[in-house]
Amino acid sequence: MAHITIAASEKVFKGLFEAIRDNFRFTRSDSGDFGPFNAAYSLEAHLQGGNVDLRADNTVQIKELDIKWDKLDLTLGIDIPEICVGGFCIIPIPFDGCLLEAPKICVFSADPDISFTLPLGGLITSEISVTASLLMKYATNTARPSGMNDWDAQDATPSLANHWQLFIDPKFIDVDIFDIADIVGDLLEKAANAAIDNLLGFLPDWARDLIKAILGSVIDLIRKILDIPDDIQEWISNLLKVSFGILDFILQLVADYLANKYPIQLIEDPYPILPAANNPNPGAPLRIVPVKIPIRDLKVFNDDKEMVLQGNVG
Amino acid sequence: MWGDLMKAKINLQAIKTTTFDSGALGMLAMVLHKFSSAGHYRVSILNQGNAVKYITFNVDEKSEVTQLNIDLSQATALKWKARSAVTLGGKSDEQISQVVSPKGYVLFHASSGFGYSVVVSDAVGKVVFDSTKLGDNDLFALSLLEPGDYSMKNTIDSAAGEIVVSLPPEMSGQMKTLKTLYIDVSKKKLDPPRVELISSQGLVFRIKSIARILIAKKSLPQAGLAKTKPKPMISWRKLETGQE
Repeated sequence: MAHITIAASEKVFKGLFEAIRDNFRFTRSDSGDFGPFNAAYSLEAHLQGGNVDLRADNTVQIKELDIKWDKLDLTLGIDIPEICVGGFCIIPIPFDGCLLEAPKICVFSADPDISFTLPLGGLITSEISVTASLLMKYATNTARPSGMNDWDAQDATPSLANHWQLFIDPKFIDVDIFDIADIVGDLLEKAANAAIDNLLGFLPDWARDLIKAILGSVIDLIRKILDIPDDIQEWISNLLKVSFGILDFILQLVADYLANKYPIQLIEDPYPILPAANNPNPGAPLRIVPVKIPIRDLKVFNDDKEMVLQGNVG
Repeated sequence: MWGDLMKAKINLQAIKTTTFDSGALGMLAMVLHKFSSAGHYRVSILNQGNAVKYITFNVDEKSEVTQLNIDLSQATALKWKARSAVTLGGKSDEQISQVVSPKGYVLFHASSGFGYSVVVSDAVGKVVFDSTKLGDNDLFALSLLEPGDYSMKNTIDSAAGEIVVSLPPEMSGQMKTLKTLYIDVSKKKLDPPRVELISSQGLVFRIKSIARILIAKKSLPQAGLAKTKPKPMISWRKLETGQE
């Protein structure tokens, strides 16, 4: 039978989880060449919400853990195709094409580049779900000099004590973009239009209008260059998920964060059961050291009501 | 491409050209002539009336080429199948093997610059075509870009007319579907005397009488394309009080 048994309710466990959840923030940026276009992203995100459930099979389930994209700027860069006028038919052949055709004069002398940024933060809803077990690890403080006793280690600033660490050890993590707001299509068109206007800003209005009229609908042009299917949301989702692997990155990050980086609880070893105090007896020493008990074989498990830690003294 | 974005290099001459003269070609304007007799032809290229280049071409009944484009500003850059240069009167005279069918047309145009004309002579030196004086069955084709009102005039006999160029928003993406419009040029008459074009739409003058066509812009861009001052959403006017 274990010397020590500590139980924490599901409510307490949720509180412990929320503390590490709120501490989790991440940033990342990357760029890539995808042939007909280039893309880059810059993101900042944190986690929010999440329903925590202790389950009878000794696992923990966290559902509806939202990724809040504080910033997710997706920048797309494309070549605008050469724009030419002329080329009209001078003498048509009825029902059979054109006998004489005017030569073309190209308004652009080279394919210019434009880039535009879609601020997707707030427009993408992503969710994580985690199935995990609880894991107790022992961490020896590597900064502690050899020979230092446990009392001096506790008194050091910062503390150099060793700890038992309680982690959430994920077994399965699912992360997905499950919704991109409809307005992303409008956002794309407006951003591309603005980029073209900026590119042609030195031209009179009518010349800009003419070039854009020749280009056709900007969104159609962009769709053609970027090879965007009808569902622009799906295209963006695939770009972020597959091409850039953002969700894989998040998945790895969350798994590492929960399993290795941030324990939900630290238990000092030896554990101070009585703090330092004045010596109630006359004579030296004036202060008596804390009473600490070494903990070994600390294990953790849970059922659907509570989390239980059990260990031995010695 | 990533990083420093390339600025658009715009052909400003194409954008800014608002005067078109069949006898002084610039961008977006061209004259076409059919050389019906087989033989060797010599083209004097003139700029502002001064000869700057001589080139030649052949009209061959065996040829199936129905269109020979000669870019007057880039004449030497044309991809001649064979070429040998001789000196004639201090100017370069390029013998070319480019041929066209007698049923075809030679199209003279300028991809840059302005003020170009040609005088074409046959093998015996007889002038058979002068682009400053277009004749029967010649064509003058052009494309107007800037919206607005243009005057058109045959400077030989003063026949005149009007061209209105617009760029309605609904034409976006439809520019390739525009059909070429035609004006017949006969003695003292342009038919029709008024045409309405969409910006960049092709316009062809079919010459029936001696002509030199001059087109010039005469007004600001049409309302709707120009930036018009919007009416204020809210206005205030002091009410006048009647005297009692």
